[in-house]
Amino acid sequence: MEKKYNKYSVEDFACDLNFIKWVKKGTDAKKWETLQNENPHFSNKIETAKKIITALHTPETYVGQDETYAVWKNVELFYKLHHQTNRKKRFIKFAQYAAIFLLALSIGAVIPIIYFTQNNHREYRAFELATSNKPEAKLILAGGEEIILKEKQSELQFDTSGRQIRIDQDSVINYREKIEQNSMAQVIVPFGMRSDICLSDGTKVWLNAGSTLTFPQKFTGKTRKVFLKGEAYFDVTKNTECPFVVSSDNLNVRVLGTEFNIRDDEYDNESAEVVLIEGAVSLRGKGMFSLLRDELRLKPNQKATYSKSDKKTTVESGVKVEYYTSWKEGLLEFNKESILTVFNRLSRFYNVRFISEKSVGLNRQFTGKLDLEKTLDEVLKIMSDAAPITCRIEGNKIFVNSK
Amino acid sequence: MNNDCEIWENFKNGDKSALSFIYFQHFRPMFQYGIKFKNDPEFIKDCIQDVFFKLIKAGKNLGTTNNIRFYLFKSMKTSILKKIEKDRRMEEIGNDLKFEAQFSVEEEIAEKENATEKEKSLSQSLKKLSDRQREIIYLRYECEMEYSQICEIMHLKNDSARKLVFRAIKTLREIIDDEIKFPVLFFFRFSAKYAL
Repeated sequence: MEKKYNKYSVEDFACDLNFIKWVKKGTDAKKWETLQNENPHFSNKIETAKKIITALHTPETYVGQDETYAVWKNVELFYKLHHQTNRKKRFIKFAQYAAIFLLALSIGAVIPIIYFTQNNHREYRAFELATSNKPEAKLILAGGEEIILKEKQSELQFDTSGRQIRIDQDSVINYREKIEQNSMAQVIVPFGMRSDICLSDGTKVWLNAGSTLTFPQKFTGKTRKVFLKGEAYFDVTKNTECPFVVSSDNLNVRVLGTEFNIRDDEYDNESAEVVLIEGAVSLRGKGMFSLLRDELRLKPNQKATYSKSDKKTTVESGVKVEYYTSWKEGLLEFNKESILTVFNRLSRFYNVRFISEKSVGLNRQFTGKLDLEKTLDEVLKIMSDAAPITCRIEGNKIFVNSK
Repeated sequence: MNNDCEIWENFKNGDKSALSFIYFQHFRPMFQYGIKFKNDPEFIKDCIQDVFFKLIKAGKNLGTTNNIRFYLFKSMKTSILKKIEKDRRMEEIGNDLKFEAQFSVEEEIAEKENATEKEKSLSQSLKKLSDRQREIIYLRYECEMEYSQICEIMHLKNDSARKLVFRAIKTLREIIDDEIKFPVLFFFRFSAKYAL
């Protein structure tokens, strides 16, 4: 143990930053507890120092999430404007030089008019996904315009041109900006909300809570490729000329026209899965050597499970597809699933976190249906009637104990 | 390589995810610190916004830092001072920012109808702490800053932050040590709080 503490007075302890961190946050608890146990004569000093530190606690002033986001909106807008003007300035400077140069070249000649188009390539990954836990669902259009989706279960419909977007039956957006080839729109749905989307090719997507779908506002090119994080159910419009591809973190699913459910969550460390309801799909893991492996074909009522640890895909036949798709009807069905799985799926719909002691038997199996229209209270009551557990709600945390 | 350094560099190069990371990491602490100078949430939110506007504007021209919170607190204080001066251009300008924080204990004792003598003397000695001492204590005990950083934020000479804290602690210790000889239940309520 560090010798310096031998000479420490109460004041020295109370002023020591590491000691303060221990008292306030439990940092390095082991070190301090050993020090206390090995040197009983310190006890009094340490206790007094602790009391002083606790007495010096300053209460926090309340500031809400929404206020934090309101200011963030402004900061974000300022960032956007700032970077836009910077780009413009650079462009003007460049244009000036170019004009002088052209002028010199073209005395007596006709100066062609040159249009510059800005590269509109957008970075999606880092920022948008990092904030997808925000309690706000939103649609981001190809040009970067953001539209907040207010309904808990929003509906979006793109017309064939990708220019007219109907939102929740009542509002219609007419998009006049030029749609560049492959410019992407994005729908972000936080936990506790959902969205049904009709893409410009007529494909229907039920986007589950806590998921993000990125897709071309209008499909062009030889494939229809969309990107998914989280879980979605696809009903793909048939077009044999132009296959539909869903790309998630771990999987690539290729279809011609069919219905299937895909789940590839970042917070599920074990697996990603695809369940086929109708038609045919082929899929491929995205691991390093995946291109060397054969494509896997799924038949209806088959489930492909991709294991994230050994990067292999296994197929299970004759699964009851309702277990995997009932969420889009607002029901969760479980057949001999562990309570842990039930909690994991519930947390997505109610935007809560379950916290439990190890001793609670979370491996106990649960079979039954849960109606997601019910309030969290009601669902938890059902759970605690079915299993020997009690649940206590505190904010968005749920503490689970055994009965 | 320090993590803060890296994030800061990314932010200077215009990385938006670094900006949002810094913002959400530090909004609350900046707000809590600011509100002690002027108890007006709207005003403080404006100041935070100004700080970020300035940072974005400066971009590549910003200096380096390995402690973003410290950097932001410094900027926050400047921003509050400027905004206060701007708002009361017509009135007499006092150059001093008053740090008006009450400790939880003070409030509790004040609300108590039959506070003991010891509690009264504790609250008395806390009341005697100057604004500066309160600010130093806040930066040290809530924000866990090094003395050198505290001195820089508060424009103090090298060793004075440490001395000021030590002096305050000593006074408190004398009262609290006394408490141990005549235990008063009051303090045990607090020990329960940090057990969580």
